[in-house]
Amino acid sequence: MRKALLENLNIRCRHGNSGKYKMILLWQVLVNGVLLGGIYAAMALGLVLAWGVLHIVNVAHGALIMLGAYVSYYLFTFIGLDPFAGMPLSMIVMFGFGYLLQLYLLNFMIKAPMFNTLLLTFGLAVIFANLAQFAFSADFRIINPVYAGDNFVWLGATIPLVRILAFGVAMTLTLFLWAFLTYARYGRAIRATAQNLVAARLYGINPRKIYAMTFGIVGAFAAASGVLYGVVWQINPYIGSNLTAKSFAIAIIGGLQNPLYVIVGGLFLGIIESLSSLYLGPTYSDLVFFGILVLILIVRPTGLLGKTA
Amino acid sequence: MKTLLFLLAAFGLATIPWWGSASFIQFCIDALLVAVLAQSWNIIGGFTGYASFGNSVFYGLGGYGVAISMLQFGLPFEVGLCIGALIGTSVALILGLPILRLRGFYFGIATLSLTFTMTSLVSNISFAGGNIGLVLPIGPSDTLFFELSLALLGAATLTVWWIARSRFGLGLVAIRENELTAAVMGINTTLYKVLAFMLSGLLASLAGGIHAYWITFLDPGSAFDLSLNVKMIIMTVFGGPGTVLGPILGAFSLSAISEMLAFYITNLANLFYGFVIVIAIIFMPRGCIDLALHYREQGWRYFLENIKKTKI
Amino acid sequence: MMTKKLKVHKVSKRFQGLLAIDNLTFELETNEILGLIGPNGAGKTTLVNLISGTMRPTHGTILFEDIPIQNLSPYKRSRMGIARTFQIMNPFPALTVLDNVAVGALFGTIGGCTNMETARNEALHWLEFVGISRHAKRLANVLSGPECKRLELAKALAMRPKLLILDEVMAGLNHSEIEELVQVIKKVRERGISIIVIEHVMKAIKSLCERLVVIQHGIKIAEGSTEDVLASNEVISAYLGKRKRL
Repeated sequence: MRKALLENLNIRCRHGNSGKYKMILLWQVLVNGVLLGGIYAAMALGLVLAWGVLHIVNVAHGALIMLGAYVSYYLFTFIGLDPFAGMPLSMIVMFGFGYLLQLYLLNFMIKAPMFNTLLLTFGLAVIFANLAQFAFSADFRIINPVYAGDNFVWLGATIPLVRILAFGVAMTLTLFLWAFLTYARYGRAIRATAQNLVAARLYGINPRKIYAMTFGIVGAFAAASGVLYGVVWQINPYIGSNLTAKSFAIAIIGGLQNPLYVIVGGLFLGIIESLSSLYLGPTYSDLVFFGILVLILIVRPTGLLGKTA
Repeated sequence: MKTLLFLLAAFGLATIPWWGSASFIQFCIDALLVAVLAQSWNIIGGFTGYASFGNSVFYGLGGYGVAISMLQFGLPFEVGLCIGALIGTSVALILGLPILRLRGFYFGIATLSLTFTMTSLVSNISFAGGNIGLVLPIGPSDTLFFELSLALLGAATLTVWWIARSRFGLGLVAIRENELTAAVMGINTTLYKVLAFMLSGLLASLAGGIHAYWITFLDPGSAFDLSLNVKMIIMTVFGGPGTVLGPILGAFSLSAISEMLAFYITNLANLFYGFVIVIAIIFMPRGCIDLALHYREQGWRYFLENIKKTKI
Repeated sequence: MMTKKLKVHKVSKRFQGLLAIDNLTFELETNEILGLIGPNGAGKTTLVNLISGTMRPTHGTILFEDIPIQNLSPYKRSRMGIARTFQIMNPFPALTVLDNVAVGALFGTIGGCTNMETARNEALHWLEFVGISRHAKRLANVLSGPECKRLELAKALAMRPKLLILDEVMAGLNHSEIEELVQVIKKVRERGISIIVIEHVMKAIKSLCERLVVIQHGIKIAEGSTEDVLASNEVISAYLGKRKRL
């Protein structure tokens, strides 16, 4: 990615600061932002599900993504399974992990105040990150399928193949989750339980199982976004906290009403990150993004698109 | 009788620099300062119920206040400390007014975002040392820092003790328990929340100023350290939020255990904090002090009761 | 000379699509007990929220002792002398029953009281007045339903209000408990406090209120003396539906 940007910059230097090349650069940056944004959106999906449906503030979400990334990494390294092809397998593994976590741990805190579940998941995040360090060491890992370096050019912007694939997968996942929750019988059962536990019970829904299934889905989506993370960036045990922060930001900006709104939040983050990286430098991107988040919270606490909780 | 015991304990603590080893004294200074931070969080999080993830902002601002005053303006430490405290408290006021309108978790996210924003902002300001940081002049002996930190902890604890029995404190607890009712019953909730936040900011920035001068180095990462933020929360919650001694208990005990663990493997200390908070929040969510108060009558049932209340 | 304690003048409250209160006007005399009745969902609690300050009206003015209050924050209104109870029990769960009431004494009174001990003594007095002083040292969350109602009343009284709004305090009480509470409210009136009573329990309404205001769908459909209002056709059909000729 950097290579493409540098190429663009080189062109700019050779032809002076001409308007056309500024436009090409801006376009490249926007495209980058959108692709990134799609991946961020996919990451935030599980968080929105946990928060909106289970009312669990899942600070360990980034850690789950990290674990999913490692699963994919080891599948790739030991049996050569392509990360995209192996995604369903990673998802199944992490589904099971999420299911058990909810059934045997998180279900004990369902009725606790939100701050307590926040602390609980925070503790889990710390535990996962440190156990991962023991197990996998703190070295940076990269998932490098054969086509990792391939690019193609579209309307003047250079797009790496893995990124467009990741974006495509991310969008598919988002649409799938939305359709599942809206139309599928089980998805609606999940939403019903979230809205009215007593009524759901009267209809024969076993809340423990439903919650466990829901968190299993959260795990599966975390795994999928972990795979996407792994092909685009480098993995280490501590990527969790940054991703959690970003996922929360996306959830707040997009609002919790509808998984589709997560796309808006994700794109917003991706584009802002890209733009501020280009025009202000990378040290400013946190400042810009979180500064904007604080402003949004102050001015419109219900998020850009409506009610959040 | 109780006051006599406290005074004896305080006096005993004060004599540590004369019989403790150098590394023990340094551990103590750290523990004392983190206990001050825990008390500062206790005011806004424990009493008022607004869980702030941004107290490290004030900690860092206090540190930078001292560093910049001493390095760029040649002022003595005491003045720098006051400036740092002033900056911290004013920021608490200015940011508190809009942010304290947010409830619960959104307040937490806003304060967390402030931490990231401040880190990013300061690392781009060159006369604050940018990303490289600032090196402060060497200060007086560790003994002096020890006594200073102990004095600060004493002041912080006295403040919390006063809050716990004052009208102001009752107002804060009412806000925590039910903000709407509190407002309808005559409490000026905005004023009280902002005052609590400012007190919290004051204590945190004083701790930050002392710490910066003590270790003579400051950079955005360590000044606005998020893990410190979380530690102070875990310590207060473990010890007993909304109590006077809970944060001190939590800070001292957890610091001690994590120090001993770090002796064996560095990562074990962090893992330890993770397990502490997971187990504590499930079995004893109101902290050690509450456990101590109720254990005599309830025994093991105390833990079971807590789980029963929250499980499904 | 000021005789009207409260004047609600052409007040409306809109919640996005829903017009909860529509152009409502009524007045409360000093030291009278006014009943506010109407079917469920009529907007009674919304009206209480508007008077006590938890919500602001979309249109209209509210005058308390001839001072406009519709834009004041809740705590200011309570310090002027307006107190209310909550329909859904709202104690401070981690505080003792005594401290729950002490909050009212410390903050809600005109002039305010700053001494903790004085406030607690006051609080004890009010707990005795409503009859739950034996629970003073217990945590508020262990009280039963009827006891909680009394706590709500004590909290409101500790604020030494000039206007007290009681939002369905009789709900869930049996006959003798209703009787007792009616006597307590009459004692409150004897102290010069003006009271608005929101109720469904007609027995209590008939014992306490001289005048009634009836609301349905946010609109005032009747106002007058208790006997007249309760006999009027509109009120009866509002509660029971249109009378069918058989």
